[in-house]
Amino acid sequence: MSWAAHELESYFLQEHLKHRLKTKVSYLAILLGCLLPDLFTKLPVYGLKIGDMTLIKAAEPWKYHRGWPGVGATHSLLFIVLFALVILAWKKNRAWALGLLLGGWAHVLTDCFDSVGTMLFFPFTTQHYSTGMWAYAAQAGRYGDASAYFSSFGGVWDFLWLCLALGGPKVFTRKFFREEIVPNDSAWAWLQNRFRMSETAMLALYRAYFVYGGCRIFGWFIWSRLINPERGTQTLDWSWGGPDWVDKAPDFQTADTWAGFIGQTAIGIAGVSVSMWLIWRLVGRRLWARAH
Amino acid sequence: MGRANTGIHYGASVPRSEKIGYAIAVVILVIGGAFVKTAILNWISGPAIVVASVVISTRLFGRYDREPVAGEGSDS
Repeated sequence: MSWAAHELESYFLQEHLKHRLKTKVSYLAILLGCLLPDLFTKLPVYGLKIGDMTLIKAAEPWKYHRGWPGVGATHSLLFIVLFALVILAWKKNRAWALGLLLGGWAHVLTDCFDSVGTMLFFPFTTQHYSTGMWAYAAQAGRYGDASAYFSSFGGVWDFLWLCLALGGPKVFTRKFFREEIVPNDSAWAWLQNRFRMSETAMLALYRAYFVYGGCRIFGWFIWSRLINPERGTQTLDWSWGGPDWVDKAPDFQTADTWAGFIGQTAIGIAGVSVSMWLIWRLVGRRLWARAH
Repeated sequence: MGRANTGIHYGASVPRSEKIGYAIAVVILVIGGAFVKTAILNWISGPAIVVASVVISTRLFGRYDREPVAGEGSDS
């Protein structure tokens, strides 16, 4: 999992979508989409601690979070499509449906970079897709995970997203906010009227997840490398799949052979493609035409 | 920078009071976050700290912001 990339990728998408899409896209929906797969599923990954008691903690966090049975389905392409479709039917808002779709897919694809990966083509295959760039370490608890993540390529990955977001500085300007963000989404007018928010406050809210995402990288890195009492043994390890010192999640729901992998992938791609085509033909295009 | 262009500007002049607000938020999130960790660095309180810092600092220091010069425009 990524600790800051999901907050930062929304700004990168915003920068690159403007010229490529002819229809409106809501920034708030992209952000929500980027957070969506973890939004209601993350608590049992680390567990809820009250005093000395740990409640609702998954015994095998990697299976619960990314696998099946579990909530791994939330990290699949088709789940995001269905969620966006529900929003399109409910709110009749194209900008929100499209934003959720793009943000959610960005989350699902970026999570493919840790050692557990995601079930991209669920439910047609439970095959996991992963580059194994850094070790998934939720089983080490919140602070163990933070230490492992920021001692490995995970932290570098987040820093890369920070640089990518900074590569399009105009998305942070007031002018961009006024001309591109606000007109694409009636939610900003609602926020202004409902909470009497000034433009400065709304602009701060728009920029907030960038500032928070960037600071999260440095705050957790400082903790893991300078304050963490275990930092003597939990050393910096910029090797592929590192750090070596963490108890890694075992491989599961992965094919044993290349032929198996290719077969499962073909089934998955075909299943998801046909499903998406059917969804569009039977429901999607009618909902799209009805929406504004 | 880019003011003569009709495209989107880079917004060179963010009001000083806003800059102070963002700077305070960065200090709280990075230094505070390193020590307090999840209590600050979570997806609700983290962004809320940014918004609160900017709103409070524009209230406190807004009077010191430079008045816009006539014809200068405002893209910040």
